[in-house]
Amino acid sequence: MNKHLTDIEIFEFSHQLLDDATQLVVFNQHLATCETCQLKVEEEKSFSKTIQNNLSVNEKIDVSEKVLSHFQTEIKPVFIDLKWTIYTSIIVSVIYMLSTIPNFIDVAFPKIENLNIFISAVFLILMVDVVVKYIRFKKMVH
Amino acid sequence: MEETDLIKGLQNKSHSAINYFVKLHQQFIFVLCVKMTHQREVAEEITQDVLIKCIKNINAFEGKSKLKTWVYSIAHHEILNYLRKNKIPTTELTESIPVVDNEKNILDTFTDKDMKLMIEYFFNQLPADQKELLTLFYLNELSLKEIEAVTALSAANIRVKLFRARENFKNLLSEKDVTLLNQIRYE
Repeated sequence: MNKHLTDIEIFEFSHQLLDDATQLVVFNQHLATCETCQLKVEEEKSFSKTIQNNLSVNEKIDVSEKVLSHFQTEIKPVFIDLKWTIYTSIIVSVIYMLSTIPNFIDVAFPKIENLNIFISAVFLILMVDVVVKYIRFKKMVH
Repeated sequence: MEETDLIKGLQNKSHSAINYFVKLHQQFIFVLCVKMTHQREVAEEITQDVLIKCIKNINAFEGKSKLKTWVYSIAHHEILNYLRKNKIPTTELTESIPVVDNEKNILDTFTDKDMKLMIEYFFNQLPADQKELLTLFYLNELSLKEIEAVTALSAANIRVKLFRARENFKNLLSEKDVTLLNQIRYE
């Protein structure tokens, strides 16, 4: 291909908009030997980057509260959801299984003192979480 | 959250599903709205309306495209409705802005400080359909296929319109002058 690439071809090539594989090969072959077209492709890419950087919208928006309040009457309040139930069950099961293996705790956690206090704290946090969820659920129902 | 779970959650009006859906889509809808309307409050309002409409009509989503593409197409129609209601032309009514033969790289003639001002100003001079294509392509980084699904234009048509939009924009930037730059700075 001896002809230079047209402006639209430069644009399509730079943005990978070409879906014709044969055409792509031909363009690549031409660009390998034509500095003028290479420069145009680089300029196109640079122009695109500048547009993106200077037109970008940096402001963040959050309309979640407004949208949720629109569906207030339709949203079914949930006390405890499935995900929380699964995660809590796994945590409790793991702690229970580890504590039933006689020497495991002494071997695996030789340096942790007051392990019982740590485990109790985990259960306490879970209980507090349940109470908070219940209070929120009651508020939504009323 | 998987798309199927999200759709089920929206159909059941689950709090967590609605929250997740809004947080996932609000920013890109807002970007499109703000670029098309150039008014922050209006853009926020349209964003809200689009999200509410999507949730209300979630049963109409047939799954032929990605959920994001479907949301985008609703946003596209809402914005067009707004522009028509306010009698803002949605397509290019005049001929393309004439080509300014400028061999230099146009961007080299701007200082960094003025770049954003000028680019924003001239972007807003473009017709609505060209602004939309440039926003979807450059800012929201949608693929041609996704833009096709949003705008209902063919891929070939999008390629040509996109190129034309970009050329118009480039030509507008070529016409900048110092007086105009000062006007924009002190507006």
